[in-house]
Amino acid sequence: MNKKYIIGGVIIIGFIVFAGLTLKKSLTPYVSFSEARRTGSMVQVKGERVNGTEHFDINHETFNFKMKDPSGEVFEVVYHGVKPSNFEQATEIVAIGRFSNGKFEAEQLLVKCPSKYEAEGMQT
Amino acid sequence: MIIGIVAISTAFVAVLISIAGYVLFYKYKDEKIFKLANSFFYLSGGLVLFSLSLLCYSIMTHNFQLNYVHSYSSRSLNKFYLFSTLWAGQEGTFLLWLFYNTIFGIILIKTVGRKNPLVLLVLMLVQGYIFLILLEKNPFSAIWHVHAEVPIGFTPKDGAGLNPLLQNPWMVIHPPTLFVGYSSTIAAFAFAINGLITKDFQGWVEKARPWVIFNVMILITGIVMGGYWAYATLGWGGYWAWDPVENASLVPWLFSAALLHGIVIQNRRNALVRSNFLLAGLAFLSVLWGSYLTRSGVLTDFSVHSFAASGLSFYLLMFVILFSLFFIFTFVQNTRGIQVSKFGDGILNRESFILIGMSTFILLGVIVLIGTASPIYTGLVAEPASVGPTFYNFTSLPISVIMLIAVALAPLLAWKVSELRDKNLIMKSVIISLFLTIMCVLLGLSNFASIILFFLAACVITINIVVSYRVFRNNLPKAGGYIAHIGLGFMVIGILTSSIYDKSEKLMLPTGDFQKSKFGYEIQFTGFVDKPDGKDVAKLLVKTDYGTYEVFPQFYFSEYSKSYMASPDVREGFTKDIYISPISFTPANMGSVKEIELGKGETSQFADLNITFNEFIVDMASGQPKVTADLNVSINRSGYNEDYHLQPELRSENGEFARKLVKVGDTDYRLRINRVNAGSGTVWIEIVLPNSDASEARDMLAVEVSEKPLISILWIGTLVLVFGTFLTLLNRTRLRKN
Repeated sequence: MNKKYIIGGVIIIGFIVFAGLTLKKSLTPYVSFSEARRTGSMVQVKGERVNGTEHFDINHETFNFKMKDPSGEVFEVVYHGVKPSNFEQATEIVAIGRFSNGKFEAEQLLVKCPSKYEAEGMQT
Repeated sequence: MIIGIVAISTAFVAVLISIAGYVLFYKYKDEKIFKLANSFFYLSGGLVLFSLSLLCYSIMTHNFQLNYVHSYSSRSLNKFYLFSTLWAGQEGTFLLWLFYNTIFGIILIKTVGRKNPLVLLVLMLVQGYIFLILLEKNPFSAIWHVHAEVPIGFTPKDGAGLNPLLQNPWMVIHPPTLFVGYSSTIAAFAFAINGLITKDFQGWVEKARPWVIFNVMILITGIVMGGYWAYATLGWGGYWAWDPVENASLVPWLFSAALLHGIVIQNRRNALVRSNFLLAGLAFLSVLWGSYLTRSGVLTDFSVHSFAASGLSFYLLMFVILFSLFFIFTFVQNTRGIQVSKFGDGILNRESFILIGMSTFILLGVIVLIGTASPIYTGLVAEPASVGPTFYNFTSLPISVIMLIAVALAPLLAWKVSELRDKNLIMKSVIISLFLTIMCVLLGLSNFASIILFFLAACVITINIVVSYRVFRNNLPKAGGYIAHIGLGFMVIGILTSSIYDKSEKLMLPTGDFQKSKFGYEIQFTGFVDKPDGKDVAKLLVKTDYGTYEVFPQFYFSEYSKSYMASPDVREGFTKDIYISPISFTPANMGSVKEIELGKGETSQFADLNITFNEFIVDMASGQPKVTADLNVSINRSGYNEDYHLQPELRSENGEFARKLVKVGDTDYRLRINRVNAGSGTVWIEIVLPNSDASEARDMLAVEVSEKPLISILWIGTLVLVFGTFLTLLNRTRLRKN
């Protein structure tokens, strides 16, 4: 066995372990809001947008709104980014982040719209 | 539209016949059968062209009976975007895919087809499968076929329209370009299958080589175009988000680029024979896998590109599975007993370093595949979980370090012999790169990983510039590979500077005031400018040390998406881009309102205002009838009068009345038409009084202002990379002719 293959193999295996650990650490599961509150770790929560609660908080430079999770619990989401386009049209919102100080701090928002790529329903 | 459905069904049958024909020709070598198979190929190709033209015609003539036309277009779209409706929906992109494959097929028949009919066979298998999908989801389905509640024969007045996000010049060329890239992976795949079955383990790589180069060039062009589109129109400030749809385009490119380097090694050293087959397979199969991920709806919960489930999930999954099984079976059956040369001793030879470089691409490809698919396999055992951008950024870091070392040193190494030559050039390059890195550290480069990456990218650039200059003097096209690597180095630097040193700030801008930004310039929001297509823009003034200029970021309400659409204004510069993106708009709190009634020629007084109503001006010519009230307004100011001639208007927009407020000179009064009585010639004017709370009295636009340092280097690097790849393509096609 050539020495360079051993070195190469060790590097590749080392990298695979590194990537696997990173993957395991980065996976954010879908959980209910009560679960998110309990663990306080990086998760994804899915829910409906509560109409009319969205506002831009200039002092904290955040975009805030309330979300209702499927069990009916309402909670406040704080997003440190720009309001996604199509937000008003969203049927469902996926927020990725963690729960802290009574609020859900979202790092990423996925806005799900019924008719972004596929038109639905009829307009006559 | 029955004729379209017939065309697609006929083409499907024609494809099946040509498949049988190529199989028979492969077996019996009968020239007549080859001709017959080719004619059926041409028939299917002609029908693809016919279908595409028919769909285009239906879109242009607003045939809203077709579900496709109704779903993605509307009367208000201009010709340009009507044309891009062709690839706004899945059915259209499948047609486009068929069209490209047809063109590749013609080239293959004219060049290598007779000697390698299996290449055509594989191409036609893919064609057949795509036709099968189109039979299930036909672009010519009438609206009542898709929506059961619609009565047969019904023609909607207008279509649902094209997503405003896609109404952008870049979106007209980005998808068809990317699709050339996706579809052209079929060539290397077909050559690989042909090589496996005919046991032509060496010759196939030379035949596939120009195709692979073409594929690498077009895919990266399409990918970066998409990134530029996202950057210049979406307004979140970035060009890459590791979203599944983006990842699905990156993976085939990584595998294809790895294959390209594998072919170079196999050509010189007769090594990597099996790997190259596998890479050709992976590149094509990853395109199919990507099409499953992004079109089937499995990832709707995990992508901002929320594709709705299309009902094609099963077909798309089987597309991947069937072709994967076909490939694996052919590979296992035929690769026993392949004679492969071993690499020489030592590692400091060119083949080892190219191998290291291409391995980093393969690793990155696999990482991205695993990350993107995470919701699928985690969903099998528990709640589906996905990974965010940090996973990809973190794992690609060590990979990039190794890749850059390989790309920097490989050009200086000789084939076979393990020996580090040209130490002089390495020393010079290291010194220059160190100098540049130190300069950048002094200018604010601080993150450890990015210092390393910057240094290595500088080495890549300097060494490859020198080497390509040496080759360039004798033979320009041969320098293509090195030039491409210079571009790669620049791209890395552009990605680093723009992502790590991106600074941004959110500002509230009440109309008429300059607000200080932390970047040193002042910004004022002056109001909105109407655009005829309804995509209004906000007008902002930016005051810098060098003067004041205007910017016009888009900000308008879209009926299609029932929300405000914002698009940034990007002031591109070589050292930095200034990126201004509207976030939200708060209309002024109106304050108290007073209504006065005026007949023609009458004058009425209110506070210090004197308003005279002259006449109505009625404009019925345009599609949206408009009534303008011609007013003379004078305002009494400390003894003398200021006179204004104002024309507030009342417009009918989609059955609703739109009333615009007009400002009375530079006063805080504004007025508008409340209602009119055309019969008696009376107008009711609404006067909006200044608000006592000054902070709420003005419209307020919130914007995000960012500076993107040196992002231009990323675009320039891409151009250099594409140019270099184009040179190698020239070199290959020229070599072939000789």
